[in-house]
Amino acid sequence: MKIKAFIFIAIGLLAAAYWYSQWDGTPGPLPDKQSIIHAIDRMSNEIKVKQLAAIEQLDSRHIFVPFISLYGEHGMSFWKWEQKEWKLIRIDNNGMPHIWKLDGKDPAKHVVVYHADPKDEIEKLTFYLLRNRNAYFHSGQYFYVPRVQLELPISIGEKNYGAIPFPEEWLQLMESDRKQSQPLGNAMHSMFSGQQRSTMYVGYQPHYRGGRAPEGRGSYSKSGGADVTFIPIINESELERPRPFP
Amino acid sequence: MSLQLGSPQNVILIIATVLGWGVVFYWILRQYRGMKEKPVIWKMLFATLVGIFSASGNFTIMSTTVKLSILPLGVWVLYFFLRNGSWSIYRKFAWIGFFSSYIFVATTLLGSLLHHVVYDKSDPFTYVADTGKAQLVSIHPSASDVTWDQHAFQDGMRVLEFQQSRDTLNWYYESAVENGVNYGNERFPYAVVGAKSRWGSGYEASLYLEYDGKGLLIQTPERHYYFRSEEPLLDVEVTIRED
Repeated sequence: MKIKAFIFIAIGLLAAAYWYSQWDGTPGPLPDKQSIIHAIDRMSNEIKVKQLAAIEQLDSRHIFVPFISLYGEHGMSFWKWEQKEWKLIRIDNNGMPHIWKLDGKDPAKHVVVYHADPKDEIEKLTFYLLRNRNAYFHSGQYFYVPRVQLELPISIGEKNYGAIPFPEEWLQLMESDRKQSQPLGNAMHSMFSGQQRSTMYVGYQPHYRGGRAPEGRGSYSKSGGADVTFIPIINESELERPRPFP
Repeated sequence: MSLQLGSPQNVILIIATVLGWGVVFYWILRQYRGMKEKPVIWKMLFATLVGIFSASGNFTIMSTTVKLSILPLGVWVLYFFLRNGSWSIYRKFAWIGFFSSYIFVATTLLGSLLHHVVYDKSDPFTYVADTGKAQLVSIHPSASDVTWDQHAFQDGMRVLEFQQSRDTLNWYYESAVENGVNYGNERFPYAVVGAKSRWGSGYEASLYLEYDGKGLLIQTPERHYYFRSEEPLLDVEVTIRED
C-alpha cells in the first residue's frame, strides 16, 4: 500500500515538474541592451553587434530588435518569451522585409518587419496584398475570382526599421478569402465541397532615391527558425496599373 | 465539427448528423437487447468505433459530396484480433460501425434536400441577410472613391436579377489581356465584408461589387452567383470607358 502511494505521489510530482518546465510563465521585464548584444554575438559567429537600433515590443511575448553590426550590416533579431525567459529565436544579418507570424494561424498576429540600410538609399517600401484574378469552370459551374491588389506604402526616413501589423482591410479580405478556400465542415460527412483556386500573398517593391537599385548585396544569412518568412519582390510587370481616363 | 456561438452554422447539417448518430445508437441498442450472451458495454462501443474505420471514396450525389465506405478495414482488424475469441459477439457491432457511414450518407442527403428547400439558393438575401456591420473595401487600384451606403445597397438588392454567369472567362480576358477592353482594371473592384448570411444556412459568402455598382458577385465554395440590378447598389460616378 505504501509503495503504491509513493509511486502515485512520485508520478504526480514528475507531472507537475514537467508541466512547470514547459510553462512559459508571465513575461518578465524586457532584457537590457547589454544582454541582448551578448546573446546575438553568442548565437552567431559572423555577427558582432555595434549598436541596437531599437527594442520594439510587438505583444506581451514578442520583441523585435533591429541592430547594426561592426561591419555596418543592418540586421534584425527576433525574441520570444518562452519557458520563463526571453529567448533569441532568430537573427538575420540584413533587414530585408519579412513577415513574422507571431501566431501562425491568425493573420491579425502577422507583422511585417524590415530594417533598411541607409547605404541602399531606399526611399519607400511598398507592400502589396495580392491575389491573382482567376476564372474557371468546375462541376458545371462558372467561377470568377476578382484580382486583389492593395498597397501599403511605408516611407523610409529617419526611422529606417519597422514592425507593422497587417492593416484591418487586409485582414478582412484574407478572412473572406480563407472562407472560400476551405470546404465547409471538414467533418466526416461534408455537405459541400470545392474550393477557390487562388490565394492571397504578400510582396513588396523597394523604391530607391535616384530611382536605381544599388549594387548587389553580399551574402545573406540567418540563424534560427521561427515563423519568419521572406517577402518576395514584386516586378512592376506583375502589377496592374489602370489606364488613366482621358 | 465545432460548435461556436456567433459563427454561422449549417443548422440542418447539424440536425442531420445528430439524427445519424441517433439511428446508429438505436441500432446498437436493438442489437444489444436481442442478444442472449451480453457483450461488455465499452467493448461493444469500441468494436463499433473500430468498425467505422474503412477505406472510402468521395461521391457526388445531387450536387452533394458524400463519403462512401468501401473496404471494411476496421472489421478485418477486429476479426484478426478476436477470431479465436469473442468474434461472434462483437462481429455485429463492427459491421454496425461500418454501415453507419451509409446511415450518415442517407441523413446527409436528406439534410441537403431539406437545405435546398429551406434556403433559396438563387435569392441573394440568403447570402446577404444582415448588412448591419458590413463594410466596403476597395480591392484594386481601378476602384473609384466611393462611400458605403447600407440603405442604397439594400434597396438595390431588392431588384437584383439572377444572371447565368457564363461570361466569367470573358471577364478574365477583358482585364488580363493587353488589348482587352478592361485591361488593367478589375471588373469587381469592391468587396463587401462583414455581411451575414441567413440564420442557420451555414453560408459564409464573399461579396464583390461590379465597377458600375450594379452587379453583385456572390461566392460560396460550391458555386458563384452573379446578379445584376437596374438600381446601383453603390454610388459610383460612372466614367465612360472606351470600347
